[in-house]
Amino acid sequence: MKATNLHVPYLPLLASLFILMVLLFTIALSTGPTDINLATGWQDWINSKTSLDAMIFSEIRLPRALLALSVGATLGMAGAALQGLLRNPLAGPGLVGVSNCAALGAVIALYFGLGHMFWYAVPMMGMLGAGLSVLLIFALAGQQSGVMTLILAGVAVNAVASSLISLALNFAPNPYAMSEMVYWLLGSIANRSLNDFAISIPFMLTGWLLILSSGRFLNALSLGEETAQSLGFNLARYRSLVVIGVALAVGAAVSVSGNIGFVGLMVPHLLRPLVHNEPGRLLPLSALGGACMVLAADITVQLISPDNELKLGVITALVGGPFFLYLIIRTRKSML
Amino acid sequence: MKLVADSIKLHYEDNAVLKGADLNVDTGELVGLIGPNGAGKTSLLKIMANLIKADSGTVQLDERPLAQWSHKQLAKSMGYLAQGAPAHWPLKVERLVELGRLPHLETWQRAGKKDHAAVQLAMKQAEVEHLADRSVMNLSGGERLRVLIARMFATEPVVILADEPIAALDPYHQLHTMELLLDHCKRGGSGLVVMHDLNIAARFCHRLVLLHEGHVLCDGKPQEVLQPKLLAASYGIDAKLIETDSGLMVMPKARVST
Repeated sequence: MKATNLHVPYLPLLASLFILMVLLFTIALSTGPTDINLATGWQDWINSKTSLDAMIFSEIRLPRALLALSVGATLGMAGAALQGLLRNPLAGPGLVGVSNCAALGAVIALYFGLGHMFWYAVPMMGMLGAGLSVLLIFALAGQQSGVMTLILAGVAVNAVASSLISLALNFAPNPYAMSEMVYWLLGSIANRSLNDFAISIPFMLTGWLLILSSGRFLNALSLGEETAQSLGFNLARYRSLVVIGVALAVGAAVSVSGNIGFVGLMVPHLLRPLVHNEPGRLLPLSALGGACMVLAADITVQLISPDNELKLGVITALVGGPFFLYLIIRTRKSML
Repeated sequence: MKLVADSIKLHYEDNAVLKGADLNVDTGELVGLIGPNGAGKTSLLKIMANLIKADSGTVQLDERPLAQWSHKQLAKSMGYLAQGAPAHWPLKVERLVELGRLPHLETWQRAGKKDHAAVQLAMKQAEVEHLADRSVMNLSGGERLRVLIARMFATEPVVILADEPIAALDPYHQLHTMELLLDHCKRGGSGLVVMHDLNIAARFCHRLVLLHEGHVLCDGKPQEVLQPKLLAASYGIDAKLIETDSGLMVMPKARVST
């Protein structure tokens, strides 16, 4: 880890990222195969007037942009939280084991074709999977366990879930269900409705709040677990707080979007030097950064492949994979 | 505030680390906890700082068992300095020292004037003001330790528990750190310090506690504890003790063959 001497005041930094996010949000709203007038669409929708603009605005553009924002913020913040908790820049939101379990729940819903019967089947099953995985992880690791045990339990649960996903794909009832599952797993926020957003946002918000309330604990943790404890933090309690917060938010995000990889890894790492590596300050910053990154990625997806063939998760992985390699090489150098 | 540990026992798996150790630190007192490697010094210090639980025995602060204190209250009253001065992220020095104010803040409460004043004073006392904007990873070992000492002083604790606070320091800063601890005791605080430098311990500590194989072998004034017989029995060294104008000097000559 190279120390940098960038002097960026914190609040202006937050403000400028926020402005960037609003800007990208507006661009995302105006991006799509059909040209619509945003203002008319908005007004018609508010006044419940049926028009093409209002329909495209409220049923296609708005849910997509809102999900890009909230899923991105979740992934960014969760990544920063786990990197702080483990004091390791290579950690990501997938480590807690929730993401694969959420994906498994969604895949099961698609397997049985439940998604066509109830619109909420896929996200609900995803969140059910996420919830069960947290219970399982704490049952495996125990309440008083150390961070490593928690993570190992998460990795184990992840592995089991991923094998069950393979099983479901293997025995897919028909090619259509198969392609549905595969496409869902690739990660995308296209063709979602406002209901998907409404069902997931309460969990994401709760998760954000839990994570943000442990910001100071993460700061103290940079002095080691014992010193953090001597500063008045109940280790077991705060550890669970972070893990449950991440699980809630990431579980809800994955349930509506599928796996969108590498955002939680890249964003905190890129922004860390700007806050002098302070884990607590990195949390809100990474949330904004993650939102910006997913919004930008989703705009890119729509621009380079307007027919929605390219999935969001594919593009973040294409950028994220090489970045991860670069990170490992750099970390290895600084540790030598 | 009086810190009293009474017949502390602790074992890790089959290995008994502490076998009924008693130790007390009175108000205004600087106590040196000495003993060979593996004697149980760090474990005893951590138990007294409420970081690990003893198998049996009690620790009382201000005549109340530690278990009855809230985490916050205890954190305000006791300052703990970990061995090796760990810092996992390259934080800015000033922000690191500010972490010492955490016990005084509620979850969403922002640091106020009083907190900033305490941070500035602590940095001044530890002579790290000029490092305020540096990253803690770019500091030398001694500088980093002083920054962490400043972090501890920023908490404004009453009782200080420090694990080898002068191990990585040059003689100037060793003296400086010990003077800071003594000043703290003069102002009505107290301190328990694990150390290996017997000369400095003899010069600065009001009292020494010699720990050996989980027992307190001797507890008393430096002259009473630093005796050839006791040093041979605990450290396994043949030491010469010299009275000088500036205090007792311990000169290890050879290992005792057993």
